[in-house]
Amino acid sequence: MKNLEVTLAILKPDVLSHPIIAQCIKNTILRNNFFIVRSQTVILTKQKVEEFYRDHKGKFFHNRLVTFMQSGPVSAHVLARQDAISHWRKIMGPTKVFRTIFKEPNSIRGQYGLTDTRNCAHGSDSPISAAKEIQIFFPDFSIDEWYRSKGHLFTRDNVVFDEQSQAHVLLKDINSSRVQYITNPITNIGNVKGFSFNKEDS
Amino acid sequence: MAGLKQMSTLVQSVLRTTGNSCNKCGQRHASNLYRREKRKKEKEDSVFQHLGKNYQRTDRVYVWGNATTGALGIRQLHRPEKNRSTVNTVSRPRRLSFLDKYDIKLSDVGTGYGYTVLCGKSPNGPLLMGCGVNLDSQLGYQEYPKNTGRLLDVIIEPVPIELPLIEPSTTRMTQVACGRLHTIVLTDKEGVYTLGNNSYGQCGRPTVEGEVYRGNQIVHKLVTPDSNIKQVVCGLDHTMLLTEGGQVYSFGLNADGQLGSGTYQSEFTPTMVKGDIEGEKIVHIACKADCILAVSAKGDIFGWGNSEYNQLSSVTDKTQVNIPRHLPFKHVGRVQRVCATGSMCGLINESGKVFVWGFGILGKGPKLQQTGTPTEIPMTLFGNNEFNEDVHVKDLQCSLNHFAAITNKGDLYMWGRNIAGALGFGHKQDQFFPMKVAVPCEVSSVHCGVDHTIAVGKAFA
Amino acid sequence: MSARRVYNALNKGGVFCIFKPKGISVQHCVRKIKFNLAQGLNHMYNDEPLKERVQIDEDNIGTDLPVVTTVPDLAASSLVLGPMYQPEDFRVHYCGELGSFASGVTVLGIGEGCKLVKKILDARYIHVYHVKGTLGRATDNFAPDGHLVEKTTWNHVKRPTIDRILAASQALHQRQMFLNMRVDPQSQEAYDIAAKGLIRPEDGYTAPIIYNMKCIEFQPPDFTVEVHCVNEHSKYLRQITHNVGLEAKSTAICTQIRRIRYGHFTLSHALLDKHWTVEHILSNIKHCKSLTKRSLLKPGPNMIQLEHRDTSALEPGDRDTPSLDPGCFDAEKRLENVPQDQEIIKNKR
Repeated sequence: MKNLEVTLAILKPDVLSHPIIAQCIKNTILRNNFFIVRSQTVILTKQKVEEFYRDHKGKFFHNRLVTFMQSGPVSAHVLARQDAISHWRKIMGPTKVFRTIFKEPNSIRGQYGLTDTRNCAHGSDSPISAAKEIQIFFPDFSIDEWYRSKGHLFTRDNVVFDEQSQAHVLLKDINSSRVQYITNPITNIGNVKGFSFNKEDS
Repeated sequence: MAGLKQMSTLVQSVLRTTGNSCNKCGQRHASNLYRREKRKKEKEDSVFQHLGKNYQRTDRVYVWGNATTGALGIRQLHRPEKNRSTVNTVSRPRRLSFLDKYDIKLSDVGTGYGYTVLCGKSPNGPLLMGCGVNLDSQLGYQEYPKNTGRLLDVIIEPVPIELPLIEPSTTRMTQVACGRLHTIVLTDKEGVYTLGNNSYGQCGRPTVEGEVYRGNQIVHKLVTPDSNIKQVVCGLDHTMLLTEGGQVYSFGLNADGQLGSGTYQSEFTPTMVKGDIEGEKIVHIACKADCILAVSAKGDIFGWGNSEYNQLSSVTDKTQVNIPRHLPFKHVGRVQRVCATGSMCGLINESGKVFVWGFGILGKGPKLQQTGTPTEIPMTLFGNNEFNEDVHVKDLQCSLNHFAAITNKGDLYMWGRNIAGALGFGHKQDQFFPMKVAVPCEVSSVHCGVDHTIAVGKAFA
Repeated sequence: MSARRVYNALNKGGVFCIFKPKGISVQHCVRKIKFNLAQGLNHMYNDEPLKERVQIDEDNIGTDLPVVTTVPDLAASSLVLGPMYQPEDFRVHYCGELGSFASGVTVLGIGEGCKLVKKILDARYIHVYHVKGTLGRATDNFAPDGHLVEKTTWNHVKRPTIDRILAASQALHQRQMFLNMRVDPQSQEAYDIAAKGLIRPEDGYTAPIIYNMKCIEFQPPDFTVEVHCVNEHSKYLRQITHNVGLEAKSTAICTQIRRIRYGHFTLSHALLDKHWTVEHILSNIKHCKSLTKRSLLKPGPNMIQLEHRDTSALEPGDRDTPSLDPGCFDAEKRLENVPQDQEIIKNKR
């Protein structure tokens, strides 16, 4: 069996403002046999975004990318899988959403992307940048350490997805009572009952 | 014994329905002739009236598209009746019966990214309602049950949105516009109100770092420089106001130059758009994503904002235009209306013909085209033929990737990318040329959200 | 002119058109025309002097030479032979069925002209009908002689109502036309066909296609609808009035169907039944010769193959699909769905 590779996936603010699509993308990640090692939902500061996108500095879309990334919460995930970097970029689709919807309509961006900036997700492009980007979001997370201690244990049988931390956890690490199978812990779906729009009822 | 009785009643009922036979023995008696004749005469004499005496043509609202967000406002799609399953997409027009139930008359509809805002009048007075995704309080503070702190994130049936009006019983809401995460409401006497996400200042108030928008109770009353607002328009993350005098004010995201202010800095105070439109009387503006088009009273078009897909390439090579530019399209004649999707633009000229340009499914066949000059869509596709030569298009609307056109006969034609059946053809395949949508009413206006569509019309009779 | 020459002229034939009266079938008209032709020719034949036969008298007294005389040939007399021309001697074909309920222009071919009938059918001319309806009643066969299903009020129906309903229905028919194309709707070909305008079906087995419908007369409770269509049938036209009635929140029956045009053949060409005689038919054949020129008989533009689908088997609509939808033709089913808040007025007449 080949070794697992780690990559950083970020769901951008346009996804997090739409609970249904956020859930769909998370399901896509799980369906594609990714292990979610760590998860975090944060609101980024300007310095952090500029540090993150320093490679794009000087390009015409840099300004709008930075303003967009700090406009709302983003959720960062450390994903592990064989060929994780290339596979995540493949299911994510190309950056330009208006072209992706015709070329790769079944990719994440092809299905849920809005515009070229509001394009759902981000993925690292190489192992080096993945390591750098993970360091920005998870300073306490060391890839080598994880490989040594847990990486070899991550197989389908050994882990379970924990909804509370939004990450896969080794079965031996947890006591079973903590595992909750709630489908959607935050989203309240419903309507207002008992309100009447009519004069006669009130 | 019970079975026998059941059987006999069954036999009797069958006999009763099949012929004019005797209820007891099943044979035909001469004495039944009188009854038969009487029944026949009753049928002759009874006249049905399918309408009340004071009947008027009713408003009808049809919705279709993605139902998982609740933006369609039909509760039964999420909470189905017994022996029915939940519905994820409605790919054919479906009647929004909620409005008929409460006798609400709509004045305008706003469709955003997964949510809908309806404004109108109920017997109780003016009313603003909303349904769909409410994660950024774009539908106001919705808590149910009350005082429990359970915030509704997805609302599956229209709920009232309360505005802090001075005279709530008489002030009417005249227009609504919805962006990606914010809602703008225009009232007839009390100005403009904004709700929802304000991370770029698109609600017209200062941006607060780290503000939590879920469960936010702020409804901002906009301080407008001009009190006569004619039209409010929302892009994805910015807002435009058009005054009666023909001036345009804008605020919100400015990363592509959407505000037309000459800079790329987001702004929260409404600032007047200058550039080429200064001194022109603007009568109509259109914007769904990041490219903005405006029409002047003389019939000229002006454009600014994003131009990555040749929307404004006739005047500039830049991909971001932060100052309004006049688009010199001589061959289209005087322009009546415009619309701008994310990558495409469309216009109707004075003779009711449709021109499109940009990149995407323009409506001229499956070949993807990228063009900077408007090309005409043949009017034959809108039902203009040798038998009906007076058909022309009177309204053109769009979403991020598709168009909708209404002809003067009240027919709705749609084409473009079919996200979650938002074109209403009963399937989810893209449509490469205008095709009529089978809406069973005379359509007067259509409102396109990202993945859902709402058509408002009047019944035929 | 001798009966023989007239018969030859008829046999050489051509195309003529008649006005089929209401109440009889086209086949009956053909029988009647054949009978009239035979009768007319027999009259002509009887009025002609009998053919003469040469008679050679050999046993003449006084001379050795035989005497040659001519006498009338009694063997050719109709009193001996019976009628000279029988109805079966004429070959008459008709273009397109027109039910006995309907009346109007019907094109017939005689003799060699029967070959033209097929060509006329293949040209898929557009037919124009005047369909008359009366509001207020619904019957099981949409005609006045059917069993009464329901009586309704019609005072609320105004002319704009009918106009709107017809316009919407016609637009739906055009949409149905594109859906029935045997072409992938996602292809460039489909776009090219649609951009050219109206489609003509290649054969006669498709669902009826309506190109235009408009209300030309409205005198409540009567109204008249002009329908331009192809591949229609009589019952379908009656259903049109029925559906108009239902959409107008009332009911309607069809009282009259009149075909006023069959391609280039119009009412002015058509022969009334009193004129179904030899000389009128001959002159009509001459008159119609200009309408069967090769240039007029070639197939119309944008002629493509459409699916042979029964109208009742079209894709099922939602609950709100109107009866205007060409796929929704079931009178009984529609009548079950009457609104619940209806009132029933009992007239004590």
